[in-house]
Amino acid sequence: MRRASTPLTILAEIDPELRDELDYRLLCIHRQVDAFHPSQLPATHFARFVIIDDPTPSVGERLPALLAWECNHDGTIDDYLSAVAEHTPQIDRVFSCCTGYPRDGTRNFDDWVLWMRERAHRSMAFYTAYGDVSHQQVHNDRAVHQAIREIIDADRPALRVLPPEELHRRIARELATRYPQLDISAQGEGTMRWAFGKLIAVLALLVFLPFALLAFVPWYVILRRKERADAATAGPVHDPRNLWVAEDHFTQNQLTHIVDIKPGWFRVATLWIVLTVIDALAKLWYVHGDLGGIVTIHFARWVFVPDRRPEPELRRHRLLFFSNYDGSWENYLGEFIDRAAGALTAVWSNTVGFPASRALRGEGARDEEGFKRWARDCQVPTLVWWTGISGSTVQNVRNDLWIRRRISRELDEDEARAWLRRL
Amino acid sequence: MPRTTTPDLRSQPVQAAAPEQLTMPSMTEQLASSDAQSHPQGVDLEEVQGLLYSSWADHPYAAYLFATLGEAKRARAWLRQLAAQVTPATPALRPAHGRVQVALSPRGLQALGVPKEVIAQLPHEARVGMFARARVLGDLDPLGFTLGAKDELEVMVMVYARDPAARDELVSAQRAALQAAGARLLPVELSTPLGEPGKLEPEHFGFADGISQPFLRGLHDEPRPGADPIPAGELVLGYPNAYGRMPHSPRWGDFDLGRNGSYLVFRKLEQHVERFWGTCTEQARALLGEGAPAATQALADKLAAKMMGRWKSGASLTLAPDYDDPAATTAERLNTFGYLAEDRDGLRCPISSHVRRANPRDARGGTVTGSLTVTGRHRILRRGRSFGPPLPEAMARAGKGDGQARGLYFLCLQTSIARGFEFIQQSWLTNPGFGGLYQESDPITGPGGCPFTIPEDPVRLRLPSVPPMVTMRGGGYFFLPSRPALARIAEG
Repeated sequence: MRRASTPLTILAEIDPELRDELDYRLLCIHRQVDAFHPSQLPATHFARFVIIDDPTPSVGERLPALLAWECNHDGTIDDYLSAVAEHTPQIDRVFSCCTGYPRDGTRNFDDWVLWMRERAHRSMAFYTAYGDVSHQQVHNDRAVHQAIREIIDADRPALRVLPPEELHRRIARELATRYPQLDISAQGEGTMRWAFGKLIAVLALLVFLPFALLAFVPWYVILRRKERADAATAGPVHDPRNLWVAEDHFTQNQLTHIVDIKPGWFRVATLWIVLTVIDALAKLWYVHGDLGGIVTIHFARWVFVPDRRPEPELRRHRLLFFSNYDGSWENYLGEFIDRAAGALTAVWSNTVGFPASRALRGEGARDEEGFKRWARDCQVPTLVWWTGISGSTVQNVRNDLWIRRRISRELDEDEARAWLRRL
Repeated sequence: MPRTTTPDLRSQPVQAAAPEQLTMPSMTEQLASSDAQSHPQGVDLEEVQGLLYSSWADHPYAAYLFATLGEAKRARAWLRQLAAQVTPATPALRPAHGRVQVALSPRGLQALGVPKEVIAQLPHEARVGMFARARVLGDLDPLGFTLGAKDELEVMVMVYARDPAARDELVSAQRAALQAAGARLLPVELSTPLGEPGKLEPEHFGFADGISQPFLRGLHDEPRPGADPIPAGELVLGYPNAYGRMPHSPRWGDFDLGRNGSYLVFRKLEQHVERFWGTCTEQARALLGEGAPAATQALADKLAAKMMGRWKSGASLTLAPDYDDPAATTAERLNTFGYLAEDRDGLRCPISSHVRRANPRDARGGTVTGSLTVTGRHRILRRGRSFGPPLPEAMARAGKGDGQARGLYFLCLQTSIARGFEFIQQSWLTNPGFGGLYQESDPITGPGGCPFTIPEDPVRLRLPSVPPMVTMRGGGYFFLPSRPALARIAEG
């Protein structure tokens, strides 16, 4: 019943006096010349540091700049934080530029954890393509597949004349004798939990359905009125801040995006409902790395960043989005539009500047150029980004897992043929 | 400037609309209501440059001239003169002999005195330039570009002639005009003459090329065999695109500068023919041992076809898995197949093969319709020609070169370079994780040095390291203006 990967989002206010120092330290980490490097973080799939500024507030004063630490790690948050404090105390170098950071940093563990936990933000929706697979397992499975490649390449003429099931057995035997350090067990993801979770979700839906039906008509009337009045970003796709320079690497990329939620409780409540539904779908249905045809997202999350200033009319709650994905920015945004425009629009039509939407899910992201321009406008440069599985796509990770789980099993001819085709 | 709330007036649709009409629903309705608006017709055909409608196959001799412009006033005078010679799409307005087209880079527009705020509306990637985008495109050695390494390609003049003498005449006239305007000229790029008219032209590796082309409605009523209709807005600015929206068009005050124009990508790709065939022969020998030469040659042909995804005749491996079957090259079959139903795992046409990457058709993931929707949003119109003399087949198979450079002038048209050429190059051709593959790029156009997997039952064949078969020698991103837009730019 464990869930291996956990999303960690720490948002800490930057001490304005130490802003330049922080910029410099992050640059050093990015260039790998600092004593601290994210690769030292234990059991981490992806990690990033981002500075979230508030350059052009639509109303009121600027919000204080935040340092965001986004991370996808194995195990619970408490276990992870104590491992970080133990193995990578250099993380003090980053967070000591934030207000109220404990003077002794990680050396005073209790205060440090308390400080971190106070700044940890829950993900309102979290998607993972291989949530139950630990970082160590991902690496093991990759090594297993590589070992199989070597076995085949070394002896293909002799192997290819064998019947498929015999060939499979031979590879399994070779693996066990030649690579004893590798795990070739059949252990995999817990499917029972999903069945149970699905049941709970359906029951919850049935309980809330009558209330939802009652609320629907007034909600819809208000929504349409608001949608007609909302202003949208328009113009050609652009990239005035040259964000592309840190993107479009082959294999994996990152995206950080923050936008004001439209003012008033109505949009916040709508967003809460939408993200809760998406979160349930992501946790219970889309658990095998395929989000309705999108097979390129490793980890993605939406985080609500509340504005707690005293004057309610000046508050600007924000919606923060992090994604670790495969392929180019153009491909990522394009797949969003082509395969998930409705869901995206349901989320982001509650935020400022999003292309005009209709009835929550309609239009919106289907305005391709408008959506891409808006996405660029709200994007934030990711100053430090680190991947723990460099070179592997989501499809690679999923395929490695699939292959490894079927090594030790007895396969019939068709199964063995299917298995061999995925090597 | 994030979180803009005021609509940007530059994005106005062609019919001058009030800002509140810019919201997409109203615009879509407007578009749907007027079919005449959905593709170039009548006067619009007189405005678009003919290259959008024809590859000028009846003019086998082509040349590409590149230049850096001089002083703006003289450059505009040159353009005014040239604009009158530019060949339109309308057949009645074409001269009997000779075709002239012209494209301008964002730098070229600047040199002609087009205001900054107009140039700022051009696509971001065009303004940054192909040289700067080298990392994104997987071009390994941009400093070695012989074209475009110094942002010097401001003007591209394309001429097409029926015979070599006529081409020489056209070239010298165009060169003289550019020189007179104070432009600095680069060496002329001369194409290899086309072969038999009406037949698919083979590229230097020996494969029929230009099979899968989108069809642009307007001038021709019906798609010719092998051409599938796509919304005009994918290729020409001013019409609804594959999303049913108007692609953004740069405006110069009240004038719609983009309308009936397009964006052009030019790349000079050197093909290492002897390396391609030499590698195939070598690999065949390694697999067969020192067997009969006929068997080795047959296997080399098959390996070459596996890399390309088609046989030399153009027959798809999905339709003709075992040998180059003429039955698969009929007009009805040549370009009318999918991969998903019969060849999901790539046992016939490898997933990593060049043509399957360049257009994954129904196999881009998800359902057939879902995949076709996605692939339909990344279509380009190819207008390339070869350069250099062909290498005799026997030399190629023996892996022996003749010291001559040869290859492809890749040229394509689209309304979004990011979603068109760049996407295909980045996300499909070069992408090492394409289709679930592992660290494997396109065996033909990729950077080389990576494996190539040929799916087979019971177990795949993997060539451990395929050398680079193509070297990028330079190129650029250009705006292909309509004829009125050329006149407007020349006016200043």
